[in-house]
Amino acid sequence: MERIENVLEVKNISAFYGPIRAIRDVCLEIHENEIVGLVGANGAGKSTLMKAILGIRKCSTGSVVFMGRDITGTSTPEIVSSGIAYVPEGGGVFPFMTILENLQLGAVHYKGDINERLAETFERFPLLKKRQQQQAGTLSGGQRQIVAIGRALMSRPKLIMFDEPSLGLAPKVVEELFRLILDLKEEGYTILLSEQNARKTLQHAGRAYVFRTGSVILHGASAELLDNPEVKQAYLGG
Amino acid sequence: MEAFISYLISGIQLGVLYGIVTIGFNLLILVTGILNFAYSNLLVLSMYAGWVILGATDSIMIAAIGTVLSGVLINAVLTPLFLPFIKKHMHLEALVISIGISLISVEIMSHWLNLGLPIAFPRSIQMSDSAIRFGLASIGIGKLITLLLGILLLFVFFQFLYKTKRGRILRAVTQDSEVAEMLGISIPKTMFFSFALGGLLAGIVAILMAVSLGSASSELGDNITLMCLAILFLAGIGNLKGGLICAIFVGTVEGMVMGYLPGDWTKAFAFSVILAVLLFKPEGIFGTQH
Repeated sequence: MERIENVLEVKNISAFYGPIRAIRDVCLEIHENEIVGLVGANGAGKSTLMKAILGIRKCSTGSVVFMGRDITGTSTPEIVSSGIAYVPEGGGVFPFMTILENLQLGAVHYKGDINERLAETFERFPLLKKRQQQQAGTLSGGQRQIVAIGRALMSRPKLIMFDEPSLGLAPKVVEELFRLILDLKEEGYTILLSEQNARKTLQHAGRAYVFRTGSVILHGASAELLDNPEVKQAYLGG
Repeated sequence: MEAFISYLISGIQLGVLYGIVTIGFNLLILVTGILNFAYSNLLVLSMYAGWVILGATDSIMIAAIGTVLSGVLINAVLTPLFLPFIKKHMHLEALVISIGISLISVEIMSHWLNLGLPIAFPRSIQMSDSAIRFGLASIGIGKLITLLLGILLLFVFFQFLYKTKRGRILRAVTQDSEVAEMLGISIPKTMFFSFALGGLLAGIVAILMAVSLGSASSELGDNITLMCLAILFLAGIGNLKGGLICAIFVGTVEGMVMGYLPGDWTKAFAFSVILAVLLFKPEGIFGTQH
């Protein structure tokens, strides 16, 4: 009866990016409280999959089931309010807004007490509290990721999707970022992590899916994938 | 000196009105990416609507409410015409649509309403009989009141934009609509809202113009469009605060020229200043920022 434990279940979805079929027949499942990695080159379809889950890209075939509910074709606001948060590539902070405003925008659909969520976010990231009136556009890349993660947590999501969080960050910052993602898992969050940094992802995720030109070519436990000769050659530098 | 103060107040009053209309233009540019060429013509259409209601009901209160409502309604009703073009980023096509709407509204005003003659509002709402006199100069109470109401409207608008959840959502969409969508903000709803909000501003400005000008004609909208677009480019496209500052500046220049130079040189003078600035700063004085 594993079905019921699935937080997210993607069945045979295809989605187009303009005239191009960006993902083809993708199946994926995410269990409660695990980190699932999406590994693959730039343009392999990882982002499109996440956008399809969020309802931003329409699926031409297949279905997406979140917490036992079919959300295929549902509007993005509804999907977000049902408990999926997204951390966009590069953080996607609003540059001309303060950190505080950026955080508040993460709770657009949150029904409970926003101030309570803010207090919790500030407790986790004291830096954000100190700089809450600073414009987000003045922050460094790593700090922007922190704002974006804080923003995603504002809505108390069930599932957090990270799109290339380590892109363009210094190795030390990447280290901290992955530690934070592990912490979030320890706290009970379920995480979908898309990364070009395959080694780091496979070291942190329990399971992973390997993408190539819009399809899943391999999937399984990260430990096995790390030992897989094909993965080693293509994504881990031999 | 007295004359100078009188011209200055008139100029600032004009500038504040330009400023609000420029914000209306900018709001749509920021949220939807389109330049709604019909915006000021529809504003004048609301003045006509107010005039018709005033004639029918004889109630200033009902006419005022009707003017504001007509502003919101006209703009909201036209939104679906633009949405398909906005979605496909067909901004030039949307501009053509808006030019079409502006031509239609001008023809309606110049053929159907009041036999095409300019409309005049009763002297009582202009309050032109009571004026504050100082020395040889005087300033109409109507002008002063519209100036103060205009400033109040701007204050409320910016409070809304910067202090409320709706305002925050609106600004988020102007800065990065893709990310805003990922956070679960409905883009079509926000666009619809920005049209209606622009209509609300236009409706209120229509009242302020009825009070301060006392009349309207079918050409008035084109004149406003011309000035406000020039102000918009002078400030930098999509810059709300910059647009306001430039509008007050241009309005003041216009007021001074109107007062001190014989003949109608106001537009020539204002546009010379704008051209001179754009020669040196093509991206506008303040640039595109939020």
